[in-house]
This record gives sequence, C-alpha cells and structure tokens, in this order.
Amino acid sequence: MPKPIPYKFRLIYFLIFALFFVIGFPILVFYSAGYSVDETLGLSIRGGIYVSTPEPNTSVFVGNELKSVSGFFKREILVGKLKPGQYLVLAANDDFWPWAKLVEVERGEVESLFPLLVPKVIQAEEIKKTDSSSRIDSSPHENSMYKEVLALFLEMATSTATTKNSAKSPITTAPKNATTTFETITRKNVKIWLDGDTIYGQWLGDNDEAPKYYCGSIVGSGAGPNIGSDGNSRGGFGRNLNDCTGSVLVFRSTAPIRTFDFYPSRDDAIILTLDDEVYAVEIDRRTYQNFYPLYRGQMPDFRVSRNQVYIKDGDKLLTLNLEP
Amino acid sequence: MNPTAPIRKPLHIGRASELSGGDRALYRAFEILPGALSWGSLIGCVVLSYYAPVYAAIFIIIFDFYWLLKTVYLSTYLRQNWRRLKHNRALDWLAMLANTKYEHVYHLILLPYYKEDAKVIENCLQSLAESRYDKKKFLVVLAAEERAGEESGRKALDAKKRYQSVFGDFLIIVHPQNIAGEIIGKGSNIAYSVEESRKLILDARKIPYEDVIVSAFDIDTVVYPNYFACVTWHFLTAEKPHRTSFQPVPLYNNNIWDAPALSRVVATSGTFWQMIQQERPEKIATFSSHSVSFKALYEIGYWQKNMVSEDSRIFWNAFLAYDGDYTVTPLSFPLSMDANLAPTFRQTLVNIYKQQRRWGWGVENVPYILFGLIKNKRIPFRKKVRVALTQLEGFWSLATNPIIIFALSWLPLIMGGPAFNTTVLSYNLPVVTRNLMILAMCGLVFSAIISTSFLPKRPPSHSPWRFIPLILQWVLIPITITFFGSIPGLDAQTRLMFGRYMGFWITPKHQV
Repeated sequence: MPKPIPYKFRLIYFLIFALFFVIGFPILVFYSAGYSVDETLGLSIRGGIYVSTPEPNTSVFVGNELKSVSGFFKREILVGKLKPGQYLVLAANDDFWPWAKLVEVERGEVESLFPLLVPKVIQAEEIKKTDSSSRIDSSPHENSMYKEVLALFLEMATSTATTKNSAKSPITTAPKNATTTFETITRKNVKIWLDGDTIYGQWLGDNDEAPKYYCGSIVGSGAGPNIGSDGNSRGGFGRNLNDCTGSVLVFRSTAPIRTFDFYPSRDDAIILTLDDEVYAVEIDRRTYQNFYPLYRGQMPDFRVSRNQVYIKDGDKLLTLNLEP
Repeated sequence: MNPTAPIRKPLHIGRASELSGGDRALYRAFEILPGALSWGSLIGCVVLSYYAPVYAAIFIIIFDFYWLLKTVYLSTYLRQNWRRLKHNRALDWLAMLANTKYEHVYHLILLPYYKEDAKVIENCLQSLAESRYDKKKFLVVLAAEERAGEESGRKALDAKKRYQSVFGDFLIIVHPQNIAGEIIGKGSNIAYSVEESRKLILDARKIPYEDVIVSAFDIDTVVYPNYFACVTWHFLTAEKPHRTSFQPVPLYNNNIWDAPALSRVVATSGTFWQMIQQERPEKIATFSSHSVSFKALYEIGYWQKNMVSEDSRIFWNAFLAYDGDYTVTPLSFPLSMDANLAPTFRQTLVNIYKQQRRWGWGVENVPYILFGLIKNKRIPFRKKVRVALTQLEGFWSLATNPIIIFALSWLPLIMGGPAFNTTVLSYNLPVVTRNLMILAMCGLVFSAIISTSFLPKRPPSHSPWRFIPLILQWVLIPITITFFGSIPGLDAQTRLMFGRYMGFWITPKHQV
C-alpha cells in the first residue's frame, strides 16, 4: 500500500522549495527593476523604451536593430535591458511615413513613445453638395453633411472668440478674422496657441505627469506668448529642468500659418496650414520632430470635428481619410 | 467496564462572551486577530501602492513567486494522494482485515438531518446497506430535529421500516428544540444523539466503548462499499486508536453531472485541498463526515453544542483535552457527497457562497485554539507554535492570497503615480506577474485530469459532449478562489472580528 510521503522527505522537499524561493526572488526582483549582468559580471541597472504603435505590422527599430513587429493584438512593445544613453527609435510601416525619435534612456527608467503614423497615401473624399443616392425619384437634394461641414468653416470665419476647448467644441480652429493675434486651443492637459507665425504649447496638468518634452521649457505665465519671436524667453525668464509647465515652442514658420488645431484623437500632435499644404507635426521637438504632409491644394483650409479632418479647397469640401 | 462520566474536563468555549475578566479580553483579542491580519494585509497593499509603489511592486512580485512555488509544492502532495486514493479504492480491505481480529468492533453511524428529501436519506442508507462489511455491526442512528416538524419524523419512520432489519440496530433520536446553552446546528444534534445512543444501545447491549467507532456523516454522504472495512483496518492498526480521528476524502460526486461548472470547480477544489492535507497529517484537522473512537468522544464530552464548526472543533477539543497527543489519520479513501445545486443557477451561486462562508467560519476555531494553547501548559512549546502558525497562515491565505494576486497586483500601476509609472519596474510588473500566473495555471491541466478520474459513470441522460465543460471548467479557478474562496472567507473573519457571530446554515440538498 502506498504510504504518505514520510515527514523527513517532506521536510527536505520543503527546504528545497524554500531554498529555491530564497535564491529566486532576489533574481526576479532585480530583473524586474531593470538590473542586468554586464560585461564585467557586475550588476548594472538598465533602462527601456516602450513603444505604443497605433497600427499593426509596424517594425520597431532601436539603434538600427529590429526589436519587434507589432501585431493585431500586440500593439505595445517594450524594449528592455538598454544601457543608459541615446537611442534612435524608428517605427516603420509600408503604408505610413516612417517615424523616428532620438531619445535618452536613463537608468531604471522607461522612455514611452507614441509614434504618430501618418499614411503615405491619404484619400481625400469630396463631400458633394447634393445627394441623390437615397432618393427614390433620384432628384438631387441638398446633402446635409455638406451643410454641416460648410457651417464649420463659415462659423469660424466670422468668430471673434479667442479661446476654444477642443474637447467640448466641435470646431476648434483659429478664426480667420480674429480680432487678436493668437488663439488658444486646449485638449486634455495641453494648450496650444498661435503667436504670429509661431505655435506654442504648454502642459496644464500636474508637473510630474508631463511628457518629458515639456520639461526644461522656457518658463512663463503660460497664458500668452511669453516667448520672443526667436524662440527664446523674454524679460529674463530662465530655464528650469524640473519645471514642465512653462511654454514650449512647437513650430515656427516662415510662411503664415492660417489654421491650426490638434491632430484627431491626439494631444501630442497638431495640424496646420502653410501656403498650399496641410501638415501634421508633433509637439515633441526633440530630434526628430516628425512632420508630414496631409493634403495639397489651392490655399486649403481645414477643420477638425468629431475626430475627422475636413478640408475646404476653393469651393470643394473634402474629408481626409487618415487610415491607409 | 465503561466509565459513567466523561473523564476529561472539556474546554467547550463558543465565543468570548461566555468568559469573563482577562480570559474574555484575551479570547476576544484572538477573535479579532485573523480578520485584523487579513484586512491589515489588504489595506497595507493599498497604502503601500500609494505611498511606496516600488516596494508594493516588489512585494507583489515576491508574493506571486511564492504563490507559484506553493502551487507546485502542493501539487506534488495532490499527485501523491491521488495515487494513494486510487490504490485504496481498489484495495480489498476485507481481505486486509482477515489477518486481524475485528469482529468486536462496532460502528455507531450518526446521520443528522433536518428537512432533507426522503431520497437523500434513502441514498445514504442504501449505501450503508451495500457496504462490504457485517451490517449487524452497524448501529445506525437517524438524528432528527424536533423543530423540523412531523414530516421529518415520518421520513425517519419510513426509512426505519425499510432498513432496520439490515443493520444491527436502527434508532431514531429526535433532538428536542430550545435546549438551554445550545445553538441550532449539527453539533447540538449529534452531541445529543450520541449520548442517547450510548444509553440506549451501548450501555443496554453492554458494548465496550473502546470497541466502537463513531461515524458522524452529513445526510448526503454516500459511502463506498469498502469504507467501513478501511476505517476498521486503520482503527485496529493505529498506534493509538483512541487518540486519533479518521478522515476520508470528500468527493462531491452524488450530483456532479447535474451541478453547474462553478459549483463543480468549487466542490472539486475543496476535495483537492483535503487530498493535499491528507499528505500532511500534522496540518490536518477533521472536516465534514469523518470517523472517531467513541471512547475518545465520550472522554472529551462529545461535540460542542454552542458553535457552528463542530466537525473541525471536535479535533481541537480532543487535541487540547489530550494535551496535544491527538492526531488525524488520513484514510486516503473517499466518501461521496452533494455538490451545491439549487433549482436555479442564481440560487446555486448564493448557496455556494453561503456554504463557503460557513466553512470559512471555521476561523472561530482560531481563538479557541490560541486560547487553549495558552491555557494548556502541558503541550510542548514547539507544537504550540507550529499549530498556531499553521492555523493563522491557513485562514490568512484563504482570505487574502487570491485577492492580492488577482485584484491588487495592478494597484501600484494605478496608484503609483507618474514617477513610478516611468520606471522599468512598473513596465515589468504586469509582464512578470502575468508570466508567473500562467506558469501557476499550467497546473490546472493536472487538476482537470485528476477531477475527471473521479467522475462517476456518465448518466445516460447526459451527452458525451458533457465531458468538454468538465475539462474547460478549470479556467474558472481565478473566479472561484476569489469570489467563492477569499471573499466568503474574509466575510466570515470580518464577522468574527466585529463579534457578529454566525449561526448554522444548512446547505440545501437538491438532487435532480
């Protein structure tokens, strides 16, 4: 008859597990905290890069080395065990413009990146003035969507308001006939505004929740343009690396910026019009500030409403499809 | 010559309010202790996650690693007991007994019931009648409750009519209601019945107390044919047969094909825990249906009538009365009982929760044990420490471990703030804990194999496809151990902590 395991054996068995636990848990804790064995067999703490890719099949390179390819379920890639230092991160996808960023990896810290992937080919679908598709008699009638989108452009063209909340208002672009020289747009914890031909940004949330690119900014009151046209502070304001709530220069143009707004669904990128083109540009100015063309026309204007970009190009109204 | 009165002074405390002065304060403190430890751990995790998320994350990683190792460690005992259980079920115990003198041994079988269906009583008695043992040695006692009414009495009379000729004796004993000092429950019923049986059967027939094994069975118990031969063999070969209880493994097979998946997983998890404990005799206490020497029972004054968890308390009564010289003999032999099953799924869930809370109420033994260990100067100190720590760790684990693992693991990420959330540790925490849990859950494959090996024959009314959910059901483990393990356990400990004492709740027996 099989007997219960004798107490002596159970004790040995328990001690083996206890030993395994005592040896195993420090290894696990050090590994989890980012420690790694270096070339000299010593322990050194490493850092990491976290990349959240909005699209599947995106290859993520760190330091020219392919680290991972995103999938339908795997949109988040963590590259660990990186020695402290600078790394060039590249997100590449056949259907999108490449995205790159040079980041500083620090000891025990993870640099989080959210690449702005803009399609290489963007379909601009015209919104017809009339629509006959739903009519039985096929007689044309006014397209309600056209009317709504047109209203976005008309409304703002006559507006004199200077402050818009992007989250609340469906229309969030600068008025053409604004009575002030800049307008403020806010989304979540980020405020952007135009001063002359320069767009500035500011983090409005808690200082310790700010993305790194707001930190060490040019300190100012935040409500208005505290930065000179050269991008430097006015009136003796200093730089404070621990302060992330001051104004930062986002984009300076040599051509007039007619319209600007946040990129749909993001608070870390903006859209603006320059001459005959509409562009998307990141707020993060660290090398490289990624800058992409969205649309080319004849002095086009745009509006962002309900996470959709609408273009007015002459008499035409179009909607941009930012999916490939 | 049988003694005329219990020879040990039993410590039959039900709750702190039964004591006075310093003893009352001490007992009350011990009532608070298990809940305070559990709540302290859970609140500590929350506070640590907010104020020191790095330490909270490290604690969680270490804790998950500990849990993984514990799972692997305990699964070895489960596997070993599975082997022994299969072997013991197949063994011819009567042939084993042939080498011993066992004709003098009687089995006093106590079957307490309340308002259960006649069919449940019938199944129990029929299994006794089909035992491979001399049934004339069976002294069967149907222990009815007066408060259950006349219908209950009629069921007993019907049963007696059918079975009294099968057994050596068949008594119906009705436990009177409203006896001072008793709470309603199984303990007061069987304590009354066993004393009546002593007078009406043992003393009347001059049966020596030391020749009687008492089996106190829940009424849904169905014994396997060799159970009594197995118990008798262990009784006769035990080093100290009157200083040990005989604990079978409860399977919940009676209605397993009809019970829903959640009920099956909870029930089988209970079986697995008992199997693991069978391999660690120094950690086991009696549970549910079990057998014990009448002599020991008599000496310690039977079961307590003033508390709920009489099945485990009787072991601790004996342990303290015999100065720590009392053990449990694991039989590694099964009994079959009912899994929770009610007419509706919702009611089944409610019943599972209430049953688990009642079992979790076994925490009322903790103050009793700690108090008894302090008062008893004859128990060796090391044994006291081991017993106390085993009990405290057991109830603490039950109430906190699944909650810490499945619910609180994410707290440092949620509460840790941005400074923590940019660290490598914060990014690795979910990855490491997830991988540790996946490894731990691999053991569920083994659980599925063992549980299917226990299944009774598939009733013709069930499709062969029914096997599939019986395998897949094990993915419910994180849910069952949290919502039908931890939370009812914590509920019971909280009630004890605040002095909101639970009464006895009879699990409704429903068979399709």
